[in-house]
Order: sequence, then structure tokens, then C-alpha cells
Amino acid sequence: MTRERSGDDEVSDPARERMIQAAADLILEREILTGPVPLPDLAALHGSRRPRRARRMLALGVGSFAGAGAISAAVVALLVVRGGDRDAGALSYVVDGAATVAGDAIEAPPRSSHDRRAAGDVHASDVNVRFSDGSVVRLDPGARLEIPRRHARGAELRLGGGRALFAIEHRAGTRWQVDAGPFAVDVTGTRFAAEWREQGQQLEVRLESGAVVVRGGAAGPGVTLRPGDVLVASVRDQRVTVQRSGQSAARANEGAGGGEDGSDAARESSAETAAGGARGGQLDAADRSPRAPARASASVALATPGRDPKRANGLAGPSWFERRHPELEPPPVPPSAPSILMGAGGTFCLRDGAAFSFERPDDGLSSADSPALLQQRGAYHLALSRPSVDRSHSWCGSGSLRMAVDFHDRGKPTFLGRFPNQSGLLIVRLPRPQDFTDKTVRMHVFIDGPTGARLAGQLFVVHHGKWINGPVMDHLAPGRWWTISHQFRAENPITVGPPYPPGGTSLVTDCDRIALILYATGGPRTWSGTVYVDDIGWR
Amino acid sequence: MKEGTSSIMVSEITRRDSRGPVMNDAEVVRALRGGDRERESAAWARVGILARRTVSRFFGPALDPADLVQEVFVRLFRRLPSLRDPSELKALVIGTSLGVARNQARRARLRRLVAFRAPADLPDVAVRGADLEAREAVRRLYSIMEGARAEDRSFFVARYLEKMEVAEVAVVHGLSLATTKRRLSRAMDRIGRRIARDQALAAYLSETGGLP
Repeated sequence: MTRERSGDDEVSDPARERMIQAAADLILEREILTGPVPLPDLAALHGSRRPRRARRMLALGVGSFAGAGAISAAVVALLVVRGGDRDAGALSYVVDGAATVAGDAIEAPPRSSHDRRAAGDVHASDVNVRFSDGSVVRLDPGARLEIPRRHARGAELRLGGGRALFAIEHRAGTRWQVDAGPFAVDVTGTRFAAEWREQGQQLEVRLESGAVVVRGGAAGPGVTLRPGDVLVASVRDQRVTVQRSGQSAARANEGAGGGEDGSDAARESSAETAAGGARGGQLDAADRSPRAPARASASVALATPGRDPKRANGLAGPSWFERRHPELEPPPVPPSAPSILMGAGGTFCLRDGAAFSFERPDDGLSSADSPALLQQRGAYHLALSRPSVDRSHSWCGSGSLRMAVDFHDRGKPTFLGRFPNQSGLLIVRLPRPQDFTDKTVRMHVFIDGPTGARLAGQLFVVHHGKWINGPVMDHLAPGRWWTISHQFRAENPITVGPPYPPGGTSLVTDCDRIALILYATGGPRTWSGTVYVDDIGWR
Repeated sequence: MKEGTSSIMVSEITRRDSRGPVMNDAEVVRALRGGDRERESAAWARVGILARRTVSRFFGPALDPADLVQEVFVRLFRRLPSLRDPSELKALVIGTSLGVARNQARRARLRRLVAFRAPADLPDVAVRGADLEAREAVRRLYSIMEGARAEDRSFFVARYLEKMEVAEVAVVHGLSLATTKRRLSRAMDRIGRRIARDQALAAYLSETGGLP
């Protein structure tokens, strides 16, 4: 094998070197340049730096004061290492399945009658939230989960409603917490199902393996569950019912000679659980859960009469917003999403306002619906056409913008190297110029096409003729609503090429148009169907 | 004289209005350290684009690197105070980004050992243009990269995509020059062999000028 030297680099086989160089060129020529990235919370970063310094100084001070002995050195090392651990990278996650995702909130679609028939009324949803540490949360149809906080050792999750199965990977120092109403479930590594019934204000936790502690509300400082246990906690009647499995109850009474006897075991379990902070115990043989295992041998109810559920342990007091704005009424409870097609936005409709909701025919909309004319004018995205208001699909409300889509590779390629009908363009003309600085522009898209088709979507705003783009959102699949959003900053890099002015940066202070481009990227690339767009807005 | 004055004034205004592009490395470092709060966001945005590009090049367009970039931010925030020479900022950002990417790739590789994903399930990648052959070639290339060692991918990104000199590659990987040369050569041999095993990809690269 011949070797040659180029500059200070020693390379192997020149042919192989050329091949690798060609591979690199292929990537560089074809890569889509990245746009702006979400910035970190700078205030939080600076805030985290100061205490660490303070701790380090404190540790050094303690160490110096204690002298040069080995003990002081150990104290210094311990404090500094703990400070460093706090800043480690947070877990990331991906949502797998046909869910509605908005920010850190995830909502599984409600179960349709077709699903029930097909799945035999078991878990028909296939929505999995997969965390980077291997933990998985599976959402049942209609379940809502928020992930308000993530850190290196776990996350804080909020079950807004419905049932979810949690499979948490156990590692040293793992800290996971699942909130549901006024209750919190502390998890270190386990597998359990939790269901929060918002209407009845009732939490049910069914533990499969490991151990969890349920606290807050009527559960007080904490009720420990063992594998097989089922806990039902109600806010309204201030009761916590722990249904011990046969195994668990027997284990709890091993020392007392209770064996498998139902009532004795139940009372013993009651006493043990009540030590966790409940006021007293009473037997409650009736199981409220339709899914309770038949083998359950004992049921224990813990009652906390007269306890204010909202002041139980600080978990369920008024929210930050309520404390700051006591004069405001709580927001109305939104209607549940009737289907994945209509009103799929569910609770997000309350949070995200929309400037264009397509409840009635809106002015100012256009799409590339006249190919001949637009070809002459130099249009490059002709797959979308015939915009009209539709009543069969909606993100929020009862209407959306419907467009016919026709992807194919016929015609003369444009100088972008793309056929005109390989991408489609929707332009929304704003009634007056808008300043999008530090605002997140979002729109919702539903694709009705072949199952295997994949699209990519890209959001643009137009400032004085400059097209400023968000990142490309890949893998848009038919059959569900997708939220495409981008937060614009004061200075926004322009990363798209011609026909838009390439390179440089641009302000977004005076934008007169919002645009969406859909590209056919995967699966069948020649197909016709329908695209629905709804609730275009910014905040 | 008047023209000269006018020109300077325009230049100053431009500098003030377009903070990102005209900041030199020293200004960026100063802003990142919190010395210039007014420009801090612009500086982080500039660093973020570089970090995102590096992570994207490592994993390919199939992965949204937003979470990894946030991890890069946090690490950079910790390392910036020890940065002595502002001209080393780019190397620090790329080195940190590649470090985060390598860790992620190793974790993903471990998970793949227990959860096999068929090649047919690999996601399509979004690439510029409609050259379907090129799109397929990029997909195959990143499929190959996914099976390569994390360090090999990191060397490939630094040397061939970021176009760094070998000495710079050594700096961002925290290795000596001699070790870097040795490992780089072996890494490219391994990647080259993997590419050569994919006959369709090798043929495509040869047509586009890779092979004799």
C-alpha cells in the first residue's frame, strides 16, 4: 500500500483518501444549513454559576480553617464535586407515535371506535415518550403528559389526565417525579401505571415492580407502594385506598403470623401505611378500579377527614399564576378532543392563540394555484393548490384551510435542481406588518396522503422581501396534526439559497407575510392528496 | 473629509445594528462570559449555529440536535472561564460539540445492541435539491457512519467536514499530534473500507470524482 504525505498529514491509500473526500463533499454539497438554535436560559446559567463559586469558596474556607489535615481535603473535594454534578446535561426525549406535541406537552389521540374494535379494548395507543436514559412512558389513548423539567438524573412529569405506563430505568441517584393533581409520585426506578381522572379528581397508581412513594393531598407525606399494590387516592372525599397484593400483604405480616388471611393482613398493612402520615385506617373491601387484579387479597383505606387537600404539603396550593393574579377566574376546562381530525389541539387551544383560525373564509391567502403563470414569474413550489376553508379537519375550532397537494417529478427542473411539483408553498399575507422579534410563529399541518409518504416543512417570514426561514422539520407523516414553529430573534441568519436572498442575517421587525413550504422527502414521492393548515399564530 | 466621516458613521451604525456578524472572537468570548450582557444573546446565537452545525454533521440530518446543542451550551458555559486565548473559541466549540456527539453516539450504540433497528427503518434524510441519487447516497453514507466508531466519526467531521488541519484536530480531541495522526489514519482506513463494501455508494462516489 502506498502512502503519501500532504502537508503535516499522513494519509493512507490515495484512492481511499479521494473516496472519503468525495463522501465529505457529498455531505457538504447536500447538507441543509442549520438555522438559529434556541438559546439557553442565560439567567439560569449565570445563577447556577454563582452558587457554585460561593460553595467552592465556602469549602476552601472550611478546609483552610480546619487545617491541612486529610479531613478538610475530603470536605473540599465532596462539596466541589457535588456542585459540578448539578450542571450535567439534562435528559432528552423523543415522542414516538401519533401524538399531539406542543412544547413540552404531549397528548395521545383519543381512542376511536375503530381502534377499540381492532385492539380488543386494550391499549390501542402507540405513543411512547422515550428518554435518553432508556426510560419510557407509554400514553394510553387520550392521556396528556407534560414534562416541565428535565435534569441529568431524571425529570418532573405532570399527568394532566388519562392513563400512562411508566418504565423508569434505575440508576444511581435517579430522581423522577410524576405529578397528578395534588399528588406526587416519587420514583427511583420502577415500572408502574398511573391514571389521573380529572373529572373525578382521582389518582390510581398500580405498581408492577420496584417501589414508589405517593405523597400530597390525602396521601400526606408519603405512602409507600410495593409490587402488585394498587393505590386509589381521591381529592373529593379525602380518601386513599391501598389495595395490597397477596404477596405484598403476606410480606407485610410475616412477622405477625398473619399469613394470607385477608382482613388481618389488611389491618396490618393499614397500620404500616398509616405510619407514612395518614390520620387513621379503615377497611374498604370495595375496589373502585375496574382494572383491579382479581388476585388482590386485601384492601386498605386511609382516611384523612377534614384535611384541606390544597394545603396538604405545599404541592397543591394555588399556582404561581393564581397567586399573582388572584382576581382572575381559573381558565375554563376545555372540551376534550372529539377525534384526531377535529379539534385535535385539545387543551393547547386555550394556551395558543391564533391569528388565522380559518373558521370563515379569510382574505389574503394564496397558493401557487396557477402553474403556468407562476412558472413565468419564477415560482418554484407548485404542489399546493386550490385553498379553501374546510369543515372536516381542524386543530382548534371547527375549520381549517384545505389545499389540494399533487407531488410529482414531471416538468422542467428549476435551477434549484428540483421539480416544481416536488414542493408546495402557502403564503399568508398579514393584514398589517408584524414584528416577530423574540416571538414564536406556529402553524399546524395535517397531511392526508399515502401511509408511507414523508414530507418536510419549513416556516418562513418575509421581512422587506427577505425570506427568513426556520429549520426544516422532517418526517412529517400523513394521518396526524403536526405543529411547525420557530422562534425568531433580533438577528436571524438566512440559511436558504436562491431564489431567496442567500446568506447574511435579517431583522424580522416588519414582516408582511408568513409562508410554509412542504417538500416531498421520503416514501412515494409521486402522489396526490390533501393538506390542511390551521391556527397560524405567534406569541 | 466629509465623505470619510460619513463612511465611519455608517460603519459604526452597522456594527451596532448587526451585532452577530461583526463581532470578533474576543468580543464573542467577552460577551459569553457575561461581560457584555447586551451582546450576550447574539454571541450565544453565533456559537449555537456552529455547535448545531457540528452536531448535525456528526449525526446527519435525521437527528434534531436541539437537545444536544443545549448540552453543548452548558458545557461551554463551564469551560469558557478557562479559555485563555479567544482565538481558540472555534476549536473549543467544535471540540465540545464533538465530545457531546461522541458520548451520544456511544450511548446510542449501546442501546442498539439490545434493540436492533433494521436498515430499512432508517429515516429518510432531508437534503438540498431533488437529486434522488444523491439523497440515497447521503442516506447510505450516514447509515455507514452510524455503524462506525464514535471517534472515527468525530475525526471525519473535524478533518473532512470542518476542514481542520491535523494539529487542530489534535487540539479539539485533546490528543497529541502523533497520536492524532496515527488514529486519524486508522479511522479513515476503517471508514473507507466500510464505504467500499457498499458497492452502490462506492460507485456513486467514484462517478462524482472520488475514485480513479
